[in-house]
Amino acid sequence: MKDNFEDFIKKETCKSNIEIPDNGFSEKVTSSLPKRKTEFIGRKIIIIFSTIISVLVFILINGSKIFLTGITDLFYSLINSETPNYEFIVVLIVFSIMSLIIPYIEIKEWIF
Amino acid sequence: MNLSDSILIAKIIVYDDHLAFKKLVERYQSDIRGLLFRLTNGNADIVDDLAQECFIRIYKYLSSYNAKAKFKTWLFRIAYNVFYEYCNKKKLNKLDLDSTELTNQESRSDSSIDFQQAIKVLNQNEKLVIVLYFEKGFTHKEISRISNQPLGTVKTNIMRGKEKLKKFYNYER
Repeated sequence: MKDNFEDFIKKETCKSNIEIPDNGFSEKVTSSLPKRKTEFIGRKIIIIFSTIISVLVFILINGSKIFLTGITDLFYSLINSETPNYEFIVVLIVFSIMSLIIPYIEIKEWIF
Repeated sequence: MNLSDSILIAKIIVYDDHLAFKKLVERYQSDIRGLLFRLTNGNADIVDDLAQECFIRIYKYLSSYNAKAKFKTWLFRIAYNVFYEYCNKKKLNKLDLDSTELTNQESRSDSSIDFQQAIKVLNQNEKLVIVLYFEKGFTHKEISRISNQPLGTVKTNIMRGKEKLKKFYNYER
């Protein structure tokens, strides 16, 4: 059943409807807006530049061959219970962590 | 050409377009200031200050608007939060902005009594939901989002508000 009182109230609100003219209000608000923080674009440039240099150096020193040789020696030393090349292991771990952290930080900022 | 809200919002977020923001303000300033006018019992001195604070907050947090609710709902939510914080900050006496007791001498059947006078008999929560429901046309669910009250509470406040207004208007039909 339709509520007649609701219709009555709606009519009352229409009768006394407030339509407020702008009268410079929007101008006043816009002129008092806070400045936004500008994104440090230099950071992105540094990251891209470093990545390119790293890739070039990796290619020049034949990094893939060094990496494969290191992995093979590591497995060989483990199988034969020999002393592994700890320096290679440390470098491997450090680079693995860096290769995971940097993209994670970038993606996290981009999404959130 | 009237650009839609989503286009204006995109321009503001991506390009920090102040002109687009000004258009958004022009579009909604009457609604926001009207709501604050009702909530403050017609106190014009503070309405503009609160409305300005509201729009500045909208500008700052526009990128957090995720389109789950309508933009207007989000807007009104911010406006209500600004008003609520103002009341808490000023530790306003409840009676300053709350219901007004009526005397028997006051004429309630006079149709020239406008809505602004009528809603003075309501408490703050009832006033908010009645204005949002009857004047601004929001649904119960949207009012629940704006006022951060459960849906049941919104419906109860609307019902109580209606009862008080019925008595005020001597409505017997």
